[in-house]
Amino acid sequence: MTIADPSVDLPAIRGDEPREWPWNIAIALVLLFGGVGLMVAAFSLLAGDWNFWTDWKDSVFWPLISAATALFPLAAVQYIGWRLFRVPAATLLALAFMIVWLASQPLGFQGLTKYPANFTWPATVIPLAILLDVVLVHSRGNWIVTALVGGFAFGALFYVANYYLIAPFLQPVVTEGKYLTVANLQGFELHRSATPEYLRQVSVGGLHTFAGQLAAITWLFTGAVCMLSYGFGALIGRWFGVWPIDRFLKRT
Amino acid sequence: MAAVATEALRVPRSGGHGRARPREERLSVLRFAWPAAALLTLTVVWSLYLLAFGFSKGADSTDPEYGKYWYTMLAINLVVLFPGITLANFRLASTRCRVCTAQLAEAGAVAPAHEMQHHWTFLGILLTGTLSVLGGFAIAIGGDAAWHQSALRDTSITPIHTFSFYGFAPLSFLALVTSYVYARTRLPGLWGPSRGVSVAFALLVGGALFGMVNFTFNEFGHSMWIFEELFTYPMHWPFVLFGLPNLAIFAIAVTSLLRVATLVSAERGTLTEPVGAAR
Repeated sequence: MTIADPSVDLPAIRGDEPREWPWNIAIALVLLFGGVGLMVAAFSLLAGDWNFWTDWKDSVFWPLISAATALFPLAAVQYIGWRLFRVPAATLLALAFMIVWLASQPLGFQGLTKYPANFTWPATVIPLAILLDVVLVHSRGNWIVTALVGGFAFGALFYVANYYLIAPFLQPVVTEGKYLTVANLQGFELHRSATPEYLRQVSVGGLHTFAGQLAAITWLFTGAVCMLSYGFGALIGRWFGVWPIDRFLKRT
Repeated sequence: MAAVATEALRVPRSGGHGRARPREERLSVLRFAWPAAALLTLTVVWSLYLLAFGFSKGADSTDPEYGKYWYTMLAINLVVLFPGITLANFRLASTRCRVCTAQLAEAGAVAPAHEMQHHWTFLGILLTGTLSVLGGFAIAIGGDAAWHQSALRDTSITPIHTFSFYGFAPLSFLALVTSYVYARTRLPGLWGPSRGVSVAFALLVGGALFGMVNFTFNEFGHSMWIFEELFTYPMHWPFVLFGLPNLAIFAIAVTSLLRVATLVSAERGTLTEPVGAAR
């Protein structure tokens, strides 16, 4: 019997005696902030600008990059939470991550540089994390099913989950004879150092010739990529969070 | 799981349910939270300083006032804060808990209630380490992205970097080193020299160290090749790589938790074998 066995008794975390509950809180705080630290690092440096600026939130790269990079830390922590505690921890991590992001972002974007909050709002991953946890629980901890069904749903539904956030900024605007979205107009008015570069990148590609099919194709592809992202995240969770338990390099 | 002498843990139950613990056995919130509270206080101070003087005194690194407001803060970090924590670590490493030493000499084992106090303190230090890692990245999101995409960069020692690269990054490394030194000297049954070097700690501390080193690569790259600050540039990806070992904190915390569960069972008189032991 090892720590991963579900029947291992952990009386300290049952909290059935009042004097033991402080341990639950202490452990929860340590693990939660540890997971949020990874999520913040991964998401801000991989999805990064897609999560910072409204005009970066296009219908192709935004869901693709954001979903895939948000999923693997969630998958890692979900894996560890399920293996060690039988707790589907993705929702908890997503919620904590959003709170930390929304608390820290205004310091720089609004506090230092006065970019408006409706230009620098982040995407949400909470409903998708709930979906991921539901799939894990209903599949009774089957990692393959969670990766295929939960991972695919996470990616494919990213744009749907965030549509109510982006929709106001997709409204058409005509300015100086040009037909733009509100997000485009925000981007032109609020200068950043690398703005023209991204617009050049996102405007290239044959996908734009597929017109109305673009969204569906992107969602399907994002779902497929997210299946792999989930698998990668679960592996990372196992290698870094579970495998090192009670392992030592050498005796000194 | 750790090979512990369970016979020494068969503590006769001295009180009934609900009876308050003696003062020295109680889990003090202050004992757990003071390192994290100190870090949060520092975070608030640094954040307010950034908001007050970030742009007004920090937009031009060639301005004489820049040195007064920002190189001073850098000097405080490099000369006072980090050496102070390092010296505290040396002291921690060269001393042992007197109560543990006395109990070992008297009874051959540390009392469960006292060992739980060490676990409680250990978790508090671990929490401080995770919060400092998180603080570094949080400041980086909120401040660095906005700063570099508006003010660009004319130095590697920008106001944000003073508190992120030269503040939280070394703090997180030092806090995690402190947690390891504390674990090695105060919890030798789990992480002492007789057991070797813990893989989980090697990952955790190593990740923080290499992440800190990667800041130098990052600044070199920005200075020589890519002056702009798109957060998604491949040049930033090693930060994610060195953030992955942060997950080792789960392995460390759970090891401590299982030991605490064993001690709790011992206090209740229900212990038959260490919790989570491999058979």
